Parts: sequence; C-alpha cells; structure tokens
Amino acid sequence: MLKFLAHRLIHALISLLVITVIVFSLSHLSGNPIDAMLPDDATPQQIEDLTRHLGLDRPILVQYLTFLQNAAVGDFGDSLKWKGQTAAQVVLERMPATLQLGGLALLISVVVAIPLGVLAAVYKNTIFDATATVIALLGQSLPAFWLGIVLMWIFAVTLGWLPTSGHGGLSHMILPAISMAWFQISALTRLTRSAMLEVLDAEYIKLARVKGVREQQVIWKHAFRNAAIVPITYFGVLAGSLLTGSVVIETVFNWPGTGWLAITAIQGRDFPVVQTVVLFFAVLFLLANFVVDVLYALIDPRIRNA
Amino acid sequence: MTPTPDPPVLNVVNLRTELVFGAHRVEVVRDVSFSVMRGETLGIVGESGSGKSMTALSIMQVLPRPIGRIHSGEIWLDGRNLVGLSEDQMTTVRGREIGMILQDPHTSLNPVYTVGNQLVEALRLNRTAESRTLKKRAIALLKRVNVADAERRFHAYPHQMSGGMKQRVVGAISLAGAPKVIIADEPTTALDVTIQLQYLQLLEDIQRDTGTAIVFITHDLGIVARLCHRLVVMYAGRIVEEGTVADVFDAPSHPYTTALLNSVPHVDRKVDRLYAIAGQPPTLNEIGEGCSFAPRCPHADDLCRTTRPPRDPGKSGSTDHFASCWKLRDIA
Amino acid sequence: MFNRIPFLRRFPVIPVAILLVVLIIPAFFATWIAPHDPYTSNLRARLVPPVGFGGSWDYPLGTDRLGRCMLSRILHGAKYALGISMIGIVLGAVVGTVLGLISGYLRGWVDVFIMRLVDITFALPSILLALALAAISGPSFSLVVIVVVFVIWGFFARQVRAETLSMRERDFVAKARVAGASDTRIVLKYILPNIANTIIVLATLQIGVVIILEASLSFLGIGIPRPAPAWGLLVADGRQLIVSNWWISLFPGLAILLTVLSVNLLGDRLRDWLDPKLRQV
Repeated sequence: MLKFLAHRLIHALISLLVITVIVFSLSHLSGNPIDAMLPDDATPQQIEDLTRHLGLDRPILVQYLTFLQNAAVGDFGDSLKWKGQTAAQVVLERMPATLQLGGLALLISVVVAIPLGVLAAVYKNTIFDATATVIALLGQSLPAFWLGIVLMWIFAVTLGWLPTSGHGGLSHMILPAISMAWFQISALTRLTRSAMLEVLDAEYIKLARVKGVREQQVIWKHAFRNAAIVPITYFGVLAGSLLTGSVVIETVFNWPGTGWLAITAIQGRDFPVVQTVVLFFAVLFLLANFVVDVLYALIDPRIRNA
Repeated sequence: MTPTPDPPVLNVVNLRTELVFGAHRVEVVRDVSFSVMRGETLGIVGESGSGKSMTALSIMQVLPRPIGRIHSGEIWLDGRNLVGLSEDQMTTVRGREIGMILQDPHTSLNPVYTVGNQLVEALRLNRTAESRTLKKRAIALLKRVNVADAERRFHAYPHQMSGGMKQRVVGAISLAGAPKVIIADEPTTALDVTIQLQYLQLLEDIQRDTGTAIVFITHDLGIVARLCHRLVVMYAGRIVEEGTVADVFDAPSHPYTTALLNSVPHVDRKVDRLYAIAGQPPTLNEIGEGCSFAPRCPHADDLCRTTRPPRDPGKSGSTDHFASCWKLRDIA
Repeated sequence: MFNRIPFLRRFPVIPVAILLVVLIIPAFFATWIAPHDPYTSNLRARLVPPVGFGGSWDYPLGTDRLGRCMLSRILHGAKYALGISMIGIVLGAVVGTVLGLISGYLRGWVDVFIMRLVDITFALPSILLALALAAISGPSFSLVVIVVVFVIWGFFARQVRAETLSMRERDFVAKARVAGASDTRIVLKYILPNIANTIIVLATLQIGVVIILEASLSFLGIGIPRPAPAWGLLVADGRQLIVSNWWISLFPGLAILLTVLSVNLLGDRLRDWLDPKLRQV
C-alpha cells in the first residue's frame, strides 16, 4: 500500500511540476509582463529598474527556478488590483468561501446521487431508474451557469424564497450549491448505477443470498461496498469539476470566493493573482486526488495488501 | 431394490420455472420432479442450458431478478413446502436448511471482506447467537474443510488464496448452518484435476460425518460415477432419465443418455462439450410439442416430433429407473 | 442509456430536427433568416419583452438592453457553437488520433510517454489552462479552440491506441507486413480505416461537452470576445438583468440546452449503430 501511495504521490508531484511549467511559460509567452505592470508613459529607467528587480534579465531557467522557489514558500508577488496585499493573501482570504460552497455542493451530490444510483440499479426499470435516467440526461445537457440563473430567477426573483446572490448564511449558499452539484449528481448517479448493476450480477452476491443474508444487507454490505470503489475513483474528477464549477457559479451568484476572484482579477489584468489562483487550484486538485488514492487503497484490500 | 422407508428430505414435485421478458415467457424448468434422501447424493446432469442450474436457483428462490419466477410446483423440504414462502421466511431457509456451493470460487467470495468475516457472517445468520465463540467456530469450520493454517487464513482476503482453497471456504460457508441439503452447482469445474479429486473426497467425508443430502449439479458423468448414488439427466428443461448410477450407466434408456455416455470414453476424463451428439441443444423457446431431443435424435420419427413421450420404466427393470422415450423398447 | 426512453428510441428524428432548427440551419443561414441585424441597436425598442409577454412579433423573443433583437442574436450565435465544436473537435481528433496511432503502433517508450501525457492532461482541470491563457491574452476564438483541444485529445488518443494495439495483432496487418508494406502504409491503409467508426462516434459524443465548455468560457468573459452574440455571452448579458428582464438569459440558455440534449441523444444512437463497444467510455 505504501508503495502504491508513494507511486501516486510522485505522479501528483510530476503533474504539479507540469502545471508550474505551463503557468511560468505562459507568463513569458505573453510578451513582456512589464507592460502590464507599468503605466504607458513609464520612463526607460523605470522599465530597466523593474526588469532587474523582477530578474527578467537573467537566463530563463534561472528565472524558472526562482519562480519555483518563490512559489514553494507561497510568494507570488504583489497583487496589482488589490493594492498593498500580496497575491497569496488575496487568494487565501477568499479560499474559505470557496471551500464552504464546494463542500456543500459535494455533500449534496453525494447525498442525492449515491442512494439514487443504488436504488436505480436495485429497482431497475422502475420509477427510480427512470428518475435517474432523466437526471443523468439533463445533467449532461444543462449548462451550470444557466441553471444557476434560472434557479435564481425562479426561487429568488419570482418566489422570493432565497436571496439572489452575495455572501451570507446558508440561505445564500443553497442555490449556488445546487447549481454546482447538478452536473455531479448526474455523473455520480450514472456511475453508481452502472457499478451497482455490475456488482449485483456478481457470484458473491448470489453466494451472499444463498447463505441467507437479508436483501438490505446484500445491497449495502456486500454490493455497495464493492460498487463504491468506482464512484470513489470518480471523486478525483469531481474535485476538478467542482473547481471549474466554483469559477462559474461564484461568478453567477457573486459569491466572493477564489473562482470569482480569478475572473475579477482577469478583468483587472492582475496576473499575479490569477497565477496564484491557478496554482492553488492545482494543488487543491492534486491533493483531492491523493486523498482519493488513499481512500481507494483503504476500501479495496487488493490494493492495500499489494 | 426395496423402496426406502424414510420420507425424502428434499422432494421437488412438478416444478416449473420461467423467465419473463416483457410479454415473452421462456420456460426453463419444465415439470421437473425428483427427491433426495438423507445421506444421499443425487447428481443432476445436463449440458449448459439444460435447466439444471435454474432448478437449483428455483429451490433456493434466488432466480435472476426481476425476470425469473417459479410458475408452479412444490418444493418440499422436510415436510414444508418452500413454494409460496415469503422472502423473510426463505431467508431463514437459505444457508440454515439448504446450503449452496457455487461454480467459480474466484468470483463467489466477496473481494472486500476477509474470509473470516464472511464465514462469521454465515455463522451469525445461522442460529448461533453466541458471538464469543463465533471466531473459534469459524476456524473449526476452516479446519473441517482442510484449510491449512486456518488461524492465519481467517484473516486473509480471497485474492490471497488459491482457487481450491477458496472453494473450500465456500464449502465451509455452506456448512455453517448445518444444512439438511447442500446444493453444489458444478463446484469443481473451475478447479484443477487433482484439486477436483480432493474436493470430491471432502464432500464425501462431510456427508459421511453429517448425513447431509447433496444435490450435485454437473455436466461431468465421470464425477457422477465417482460421487453420486442416483442421478437425473436433464435436457431442455425436462428430466429425460433418472435412476441409480448403476442402472443408468449399465442400461441407459434414453438416446440422450446413451450419447452422453458415449462421449465419455473414460469415465474419469472430464469433457466440456459433447461433441459426439450432432446438433445443438435447442434454445428453450424453440421447443415444440414433442420430445425435446427429437431434432438431434437418430431414432426420432413423427410420433417423437409431435407428442411428448411418457415416463416409462427404464431398461434395467429396476423399480426406480425411468426414462421418457417413445423408442425405449425399440432401440437395442 | 437514453434509449430506454421508448419514445426517443423510436424517433431519432426528433433530436435531428431540433439540431437542424436550433444549430445547423441558423449557423449557415442566420443572415437570411434572422429578422434583424444582430448588432444593430434600436434605442427606442430597448428591453422589449417576448411576444406573449407584452411584446410583439417585431421582436419574437424580445430585445436586450441596447434594443438588439434576441432572436436574431441567438440565430447568429449558432455559428459560434457549431464553429468551435467543429474546429475544436476536428483538431482534437486529429491530434489525438495521430498520437494514439503512434502510441499503439510503435509501443515502447513512445507509448509510455504519450500515455503519461494523456494522464496529465486528464488530471488538469481545463479551467486552469483557460484562466491562465485568458489572463495573458484576453478572450479569443483561438483560446477556446486551444482549451477544447486540450480537453478532448486525450479521449481520442487513449481509444485509438487501444484499438491500434489490437489491430496490430490481426492477420491482415501481419500479412501486409510480410508483403513488405511500410509502417506508414500499414497504419494509413489497414489500421486507420478500421478505427474510423470509433473516431466518428467519439467525436459525436464530444460535441455536447465542447458546446457547454465554449458557452461557459464565453459566459465567464474568457471565451468568445464581445460583441459577438455567442450564446454564453448572451446569457451573461442577461445575468445582470434577471430581476426585471428574464428573457435575455432564458432563451440563449434554452438554445444551449436543446442543442446539447439532441447532440447527446444522437451520439448515443450513433454509438449503438456504429460502435457498441464504446458503451463503457
């Protein structure tokens, strides 16, 4: 198991390195970052000073290593839009809001999708299954940002049950969390259903039945524990699409998290902040995937004992 | 031979089982009757698709969901008819009164639980309330089925064991409830030949010690000769011949049985397919009114093709040897 | 799985009809069928509601803040959805297929390298790349294409590689090799035609994903640049006005929903006809 996890950890680090290379090379492909940082009427002296200050006169590899070194200690430079704060501060401040919303969306999708997927498989070709099918179909075809706006229109504007947007208590989170969860619910339901269908056909399910295990136990103890391996591996992907979702949904609902920050920073041409968000997201994402690998190893003895 | 005075422990009467696909119904078990005595081993022999496994699943009432169902018939276990019992009642019959061993040991144990966990679960379900002794009893069961190093194996996962070992564990699970009948559905097909023999020996030992009845489902007549007291031969969902192993092997009375025997030149050699019989077994929905075997039978005539043959005494002359064939007396 | 709705199984005509009406005909003929110019504002007809909600047939789906005809804008917007998905998918399919063929045919370290690359691109959420690119160069058509290619090439590479590996072992490939055919010839003449169906089905299955991706990026202001009437941008325009003028967001979003829904239904049908083994993908 340790070997497996070490392997996955190295994998994650390689991916992280690739991301840093992409981010770094993009910032250099874009032409001179100085242009973005100084006013148009800057003197040649100012330009030269800043160039030296930023180390842009040094070889590219040295610049990359400096970038890595700074990134490792969380130094991504100062924000251009939010004066007086470092990019890392700006991003960290908004992180809790994003995690709150993402966490709630994750919770909703698991709580809805797993039972629905299991029921759809156990009661194949019944109302549960039909519901799951329709949800899966709509989930793939509904753009999350539009769903958010429609929900806002119905429940906040027309019915007035919930606030339209902004940051606040749970009532502010319900609509954005549902909009974010929607696609995940459809994907997770489909996965759980097909994994359960496959497992329910297995011989060990038949053996559990013939040895006198009750049907509830057959489903949850014997079948679900095996079927759960598939949705769990999907949580890695889920983490990625929740990050994407946070950018989209936070923008729709003006939820002041990191996703909203990224879009606002792009509009304000605040490259250090965008760069920080991208790297933070990458780390979060890789971390989530590593947690998935650990869970995977815990639930499946074939890997744990490998 | 005189009829045994005891009532049979398992008595299946006119069992009919069907699979329902929407408006379309396929009868997979057609009017099957047989019985097993205490301490007796009955072989059910047939090609795949002959309905032998469906018969077993019908007795356990774990037919494929939601398409499988018992149409009619009775399944008497020790004087109680299992047909019509509620799912809850059947749950207490399974494992406790009838145990079952499945075909493929590699897939019949749950991969995410230890062997011990699955064995203890079976023990807990089957009348023992004393949880203190569960582990001890599980290990005793493992020893009973000759699993070496049982204390350590108790904590092992299925993937850490060989096929033969896993099948022993499955055997131990079926014994956990001290059942009156064990149904073994081709339990040795997936095993190596040497392991097969050990496993058959184990079943014999268990039967001698416990007096349990065994229903042994197989396509391998070699195993039947080795292990069983009596056998029924199934073809296309029906029993075509039944009798003691000696009678049927010495005086096969149905052309299908004869063909089966001819395709096994050496009684201890395993065959997977019956090449000696021309043609394919019918898919179950294309069977007409007459004898199911008629399309492949060299002796078939119009009578065979249009009218179902009655159950007649077999050629051995024994009172418990029967076959269903119009040509029973004609074929030398 | 959509085929389990019997109505849809019997009428694959319906998704095709929707696609024609919402996507394909508008994309090519918007100039002629749209009642107005999508860019011309009419300041006397700002925020006119759709017909039936206080509006008139002059502007069947109402107008936006600048008095531009929503129906015309949506019809013209189809170009972007169709254009991006065609260009992006063709490029992604070409890149993925070429690399997949190389990977599966040559095997060895090339294979390991390419497949590792697939793993990495699958591991990176596309939004990160989109954000980084947008921060530098601003929104653009080519940005969307790059992101689309990045997202989908791996699906093609993986599947094409798997099929190439198995094709490689077939008799007719072995015979061609014995007959002295060059590697390039074997790949192009014997392997590629046999996996064409897979590529077509995969491409169809990606259209919905790509259209949503493009719309999302445009909605965020990091996709198609304004003032183009891309559907995502139209929804974004309406976002600020949802309290009073719901139609501005609603109709473009419906266009996306209907398009993606029908493409998905169609892709499912196509898969069953051409390449049922892709069911698991």
